[in-house]
Amino acid sequence: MMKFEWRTIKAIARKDLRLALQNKNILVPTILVPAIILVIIPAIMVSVPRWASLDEMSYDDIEPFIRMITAAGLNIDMSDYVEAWIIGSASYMFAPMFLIIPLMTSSILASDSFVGERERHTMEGLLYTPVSTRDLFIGKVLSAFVPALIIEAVSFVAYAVVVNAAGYYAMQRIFFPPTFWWVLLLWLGPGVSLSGIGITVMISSKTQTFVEAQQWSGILVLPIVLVMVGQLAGVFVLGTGIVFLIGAIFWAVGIAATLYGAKTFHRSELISQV
Amino acid sequence: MQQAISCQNLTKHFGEKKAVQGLDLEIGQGEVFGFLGPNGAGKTTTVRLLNGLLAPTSGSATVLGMNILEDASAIRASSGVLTETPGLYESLTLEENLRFYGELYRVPANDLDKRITDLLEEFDLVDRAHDHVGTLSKGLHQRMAILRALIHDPQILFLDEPTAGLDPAATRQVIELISDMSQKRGRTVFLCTHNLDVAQKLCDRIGVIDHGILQAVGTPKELASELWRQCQVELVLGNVNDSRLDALREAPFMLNLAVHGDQVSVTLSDDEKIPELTRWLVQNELDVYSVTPQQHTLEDIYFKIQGNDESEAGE
Repeated sequence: MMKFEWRTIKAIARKDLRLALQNKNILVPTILVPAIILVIIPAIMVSVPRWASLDEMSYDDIEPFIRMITAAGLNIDMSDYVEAWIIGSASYMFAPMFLIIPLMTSSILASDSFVGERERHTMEGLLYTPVSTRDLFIGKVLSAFVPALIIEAVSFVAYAVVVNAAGYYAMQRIFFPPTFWWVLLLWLGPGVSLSGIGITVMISSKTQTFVEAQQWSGILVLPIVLVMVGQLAGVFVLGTGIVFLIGAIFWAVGIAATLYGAKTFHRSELISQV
Repeated sequence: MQQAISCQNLTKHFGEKKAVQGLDLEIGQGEVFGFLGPNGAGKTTTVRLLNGLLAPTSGSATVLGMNILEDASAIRASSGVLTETPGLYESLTLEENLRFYGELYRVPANDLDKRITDLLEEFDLVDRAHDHVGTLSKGLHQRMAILRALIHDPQILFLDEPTAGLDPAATRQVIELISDMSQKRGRTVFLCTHNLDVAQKLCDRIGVIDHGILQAVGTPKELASELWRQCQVELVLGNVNDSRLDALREAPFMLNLAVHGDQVSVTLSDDEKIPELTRWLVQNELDVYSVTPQQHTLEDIYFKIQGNDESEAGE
């Protein structure tokens, strides 16, 4: 088997990342979306009981949260609606939304890396270099995967700080993250990222522009919406086991899609798309 | 001398389309070879075949002695390619572009800084090293694109329309650069162009391709002598009179003679007859001010070849 040229792979990943950092179409969503989803909205949600009197709410009003927490087997005083609200929203309701971050960043970066090269008319120049298409492909996948993981980790830390700080008035302790969030962060999140990249690579061979690739990548959010709806409908509740299982599915899809993308990433095929 | 490029019956079909058909070509090392032809003639496909980007449908080729199928990566490591779209990253600086391509072409890390500095100095771009490529003028952009193709000091250069869209001053600069590549560095240059003036100035030999078929190959002089068997010579003579002109018209080497004022235009069977003509003029005591064989430009040659092709196609 041919040796990996890590210097070259790193050069490709570094170059793609540098281009992404200079592109407003990439920077704005990758900063704004995490800020809105994981900082502003959770801070408001967790703070709701400070402004609205939950004591006057009936059990039915917050029944989905209560169901989530009881199904997760957490030892919480269910008569304390404020605590149930805070834990239900911070730990459970936002968990699927958190996954949008690795999914969105990985698919945006992968679109720019794969389709952007064609759009900028720079692919031909790369194909004339001695770099193998395997190393070129790995460099491009890493240019999306590694930043997606870093953004996911940074978002996680920011989210943990925000919800603990916003909920401290009622909880009087650091309540976040529960155990399953670690599995979500370290296993499911990277699986979602790889799926985003793999599917984007498949889409990218059929699209001509970054915007077009992004439009098609929008369908990737559907599985995450399903997780969100499934949980709120009481079909399942996120816990260590189910997060691990969902993670395994995303990893399987991600690996299959990426390997398929790698198979179609061939010099003669790529040059015909130039 | 080892051949830089050698093609035997090199053929590439894309479905029904015959992009390159039975190309036989030998190009020596250090030669500047002009590959001429209209759009869609097969020039770019040939460059892609020779760099192992495409596999031939049949036939074979070697570049610097390496097989295009088995040693494609090694060929690409030894060749520098300037494509019609130069492949530079507009939002990266000149230095960042060169570093990136240097790493892809495996220029040793210890040498890369020096190589970048030397090239920027040589191409007079050192002051712009930290500017984004997108800020360069068209001429500087093209100069940078050639520089990029040289980052790994390639043995052979494939240049696709290197002067496209350039003003006359920038075109002249590019011609000088390419000429230096060949004359000072001994690099082989495979030049695809429509610009016959550029090809005339640079190329040792040319090949004309159309519809994927190599129509003709040789030095401009060889091609001209193949295309125009007869030789036209313009004479400026003193002390001409009718009897002398009649005698000249009857000379054994003469095919045709026409008089335009003080100029006499004669047609000989070939240019080997020019010394014989000159001797006859002197022996017959004509005052000879000039004897100028008509030179055929590359443009004449190119259109003659294309014209031949059209007439054959029509038959």
